[in-house]
Amino acid sequence: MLYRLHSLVIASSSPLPELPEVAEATVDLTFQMLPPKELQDLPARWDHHQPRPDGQILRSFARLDDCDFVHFPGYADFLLSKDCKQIRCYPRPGVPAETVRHIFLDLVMPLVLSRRGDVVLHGSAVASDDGAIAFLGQSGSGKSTLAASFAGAGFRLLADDTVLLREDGEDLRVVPSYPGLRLWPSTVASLMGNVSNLDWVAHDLPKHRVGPEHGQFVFISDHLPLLRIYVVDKTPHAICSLAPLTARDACLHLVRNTISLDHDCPEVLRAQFETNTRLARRPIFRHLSYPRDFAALPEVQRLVQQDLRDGG
Amino acid sequence: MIPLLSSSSVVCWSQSQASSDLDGSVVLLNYQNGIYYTLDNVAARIWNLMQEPRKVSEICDTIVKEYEVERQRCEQDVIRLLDQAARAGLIEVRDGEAC
Repeated sequence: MLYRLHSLVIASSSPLPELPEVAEATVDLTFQMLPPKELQDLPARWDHHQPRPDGQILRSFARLDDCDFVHFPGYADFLLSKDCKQIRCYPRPGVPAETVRHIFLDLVMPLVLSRRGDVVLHGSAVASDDGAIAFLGQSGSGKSTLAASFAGAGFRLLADDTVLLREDGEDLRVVPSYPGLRLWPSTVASLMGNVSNLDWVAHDLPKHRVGPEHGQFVFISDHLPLLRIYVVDKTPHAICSLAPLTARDACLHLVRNTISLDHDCPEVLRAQFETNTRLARRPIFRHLSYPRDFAALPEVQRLVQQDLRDGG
Repeated sequence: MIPLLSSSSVVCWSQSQASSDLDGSVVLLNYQNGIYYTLDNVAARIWNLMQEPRKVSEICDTIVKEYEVERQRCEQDVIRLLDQAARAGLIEVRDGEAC
């Protein structure tokens, strides 16, 4: 079975219903879901642990001779060939298939994309007729909610949680992800009203997966020029604000929101530094702060649309 | 071991850092450990003076000419900044000789 994610064609041994199918194409990588294992032989030492906001380990990385090992404690292990063209997954017994697919699509594939040399950012993206805008921010900053809110106001959806940028000289484009949004039930209720039969993203992640089949949002697969990057955070105050970011601050936000499999490799770090400082010089970065209140979203939309008009 | 800094020390950018001027600020990366730093205002100026090996006293000569600061205070502050930069692996320090 062949599927498309960003601009990659994935040949998968098991169904990936979240992704659009491709009839015939050159395969970029293969994904093998192997039978569950009680405990994969774990590496003798880890190169890096990435914590969750609650302090528990989200994932651990080990660079082995023939592959990279990404361990999600209690869920699954992923073995990535060095060229990231072959991915094998060993789920833990009892972990539901949709949970493993969520980890693969939303947590492992961004790492794979980073290995292939693209700029991969933690964010969401939507499009107007003129081009794309991206929202960057840490977990809980409301990126998906903003994307859904703009989609409800006529924008089209490009990406949720992982924004892939591709530079070609002065041309900077967003490469769309896959047609799906992951939204908290409160966001669904506020922005979509009564929608039934939504799937959960994972068995222990109380977010709904909203796709094109639900008829609420328009997803597109065009590579569009990037007009703005909004770095978002939620403020305890009642007022929304939007202001340009200095190049210095834009650079630091790019660093914070870059997804990378090779965060300990000096050559990769140096290349990312060059990219971040080059991108930060573009006059497209804004800081967007808004209250944690669905009622503020129309004002956020007004500010962003005004900013897009002012910027030409 | 980082040599003790004095006004006669010679300092210059380390080979394991990358830096970039962004709107008057400097963003730095020690790419051996992935840690980023930023320098603003006078610190950014001091950083740019170290692109070529330079004596600390020469850096202070430039700073007291360009900013309103007493020589002794300038030397203390410059040495404190350079000591932090050396400990962070961003500059190399030699005692009275070129890097």
